[in-house]
Amino acid sequence: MKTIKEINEKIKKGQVVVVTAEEVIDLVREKGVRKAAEEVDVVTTGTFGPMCSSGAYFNIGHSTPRIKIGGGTCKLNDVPCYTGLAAVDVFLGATAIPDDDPRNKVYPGEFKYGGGHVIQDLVSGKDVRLEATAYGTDCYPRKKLETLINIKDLNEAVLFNIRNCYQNYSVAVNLSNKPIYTYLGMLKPELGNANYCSAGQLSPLLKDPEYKTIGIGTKIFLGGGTGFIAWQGTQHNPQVPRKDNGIPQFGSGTLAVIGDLKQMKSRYLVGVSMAGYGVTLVVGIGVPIPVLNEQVLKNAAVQDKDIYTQIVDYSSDYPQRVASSLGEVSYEQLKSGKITIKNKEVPTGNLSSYSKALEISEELKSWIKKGDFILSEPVAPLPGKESGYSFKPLKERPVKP
Amino acid sequence: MRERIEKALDKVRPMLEADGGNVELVEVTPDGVVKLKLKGSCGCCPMSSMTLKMGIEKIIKQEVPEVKEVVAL
Repeated sequence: MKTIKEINEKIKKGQVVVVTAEEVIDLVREKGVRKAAEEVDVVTTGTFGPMCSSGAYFNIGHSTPRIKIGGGTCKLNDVPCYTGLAAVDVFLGATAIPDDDPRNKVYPGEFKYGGGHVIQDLVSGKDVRLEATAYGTDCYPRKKLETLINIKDLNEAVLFNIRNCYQNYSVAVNLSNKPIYTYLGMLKPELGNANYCSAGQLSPLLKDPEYKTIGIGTKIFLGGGTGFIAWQGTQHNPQVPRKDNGIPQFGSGTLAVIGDLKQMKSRYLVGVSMAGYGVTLVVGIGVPIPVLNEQVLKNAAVQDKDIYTQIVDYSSDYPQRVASSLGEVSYEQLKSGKITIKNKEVPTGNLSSYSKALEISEELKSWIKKGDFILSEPVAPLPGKESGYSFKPLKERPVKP
Repeated sequence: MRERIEKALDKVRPMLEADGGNVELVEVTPDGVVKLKLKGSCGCCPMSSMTLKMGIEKIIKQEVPEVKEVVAL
């Protein structure tokens, strides 16, 4: 048994033993759980994939004369921000797109530029054009503002992603006879391909499936800088069926994360366009798992072959919210490049980059080993199965005139 | 021109290979269109259009400005 405090002492003395979530697999195979748990202090995880419920808020500073953008409009490189805040605070969502984007009018739409790209441009240090309008008040008389802004001049630029790091996710396929365009990419007709999105054995919440060490307040690698877990993410659902190793077989836990955008790097925050679907942000996240006991290490040493997910039809079942599965596959099977569905061999593709996830876990490992990253104690746990917390569908009710 | 494009592709290849993919130059048309074949895991990768446009096309155009467009076959 170790405590986070003891591990932090070892970090400060340069004696900490850190391995990635990939390295720990061989280590446990070689030495066994007990011996490995004695030796290893921290396991670093990583993930790098599209995460739509991401965004950033900015305080741009007050102009002369003052303007109250709150209740007005604000666009960054033509991409609309949310302005229902105070005078010069705005929030930009990763999936926002310019008003004149043709969207899916010419199907499938290209969605060339949006919120995710603006965030990447800002992090890259590029100037971004801000256009704002306001209704004007006695204390904030200005009604129009057009200026270039740069991240280095903003008072605050904070990445605040309300749902990231999905703990497991379905494999998407298309049973219809025409191509479809989804957030899991283009799906060829009649089981032409199968797309998934997870770092599998490197993914943070798959390596701590019952949230024994990862909690609210946990310090993390976020977009190349440091951030924190702010809360459970939206749609957090610990109630789904799990294997004996505690790993959910369906989409389950999620994280809300927050961090200083000014510290982050465009290498780990990438705006992407998904044909026929929209714009999003690929986010790099790494979470350290302190090896507090043997069970924590055993969970962290789980391999792709022990992590399962469901194959779901995105042409009909998913859009109609029909709970169904065309089968269960392991991440080892998915990573082999092909799986069998309805007796057909189907090629697989991953939206999440395993190599970048590995790079993130290595980067976090080096920060900890150098003493640049001290672990934090969670201030509260994420809701687990015992909490009763779950994810409900919308209950639509008629609106009476 | 073909040789310069190959050199540009050599810069991209390590990134593609890291995720089990690769790329093959098939044709360069007289009007500057580069035709590529995405191989390995790139061939069925849902992110390949992003890799092609934001990664490969960007680097080829930087190195060989006469290139107008990069398409995957």
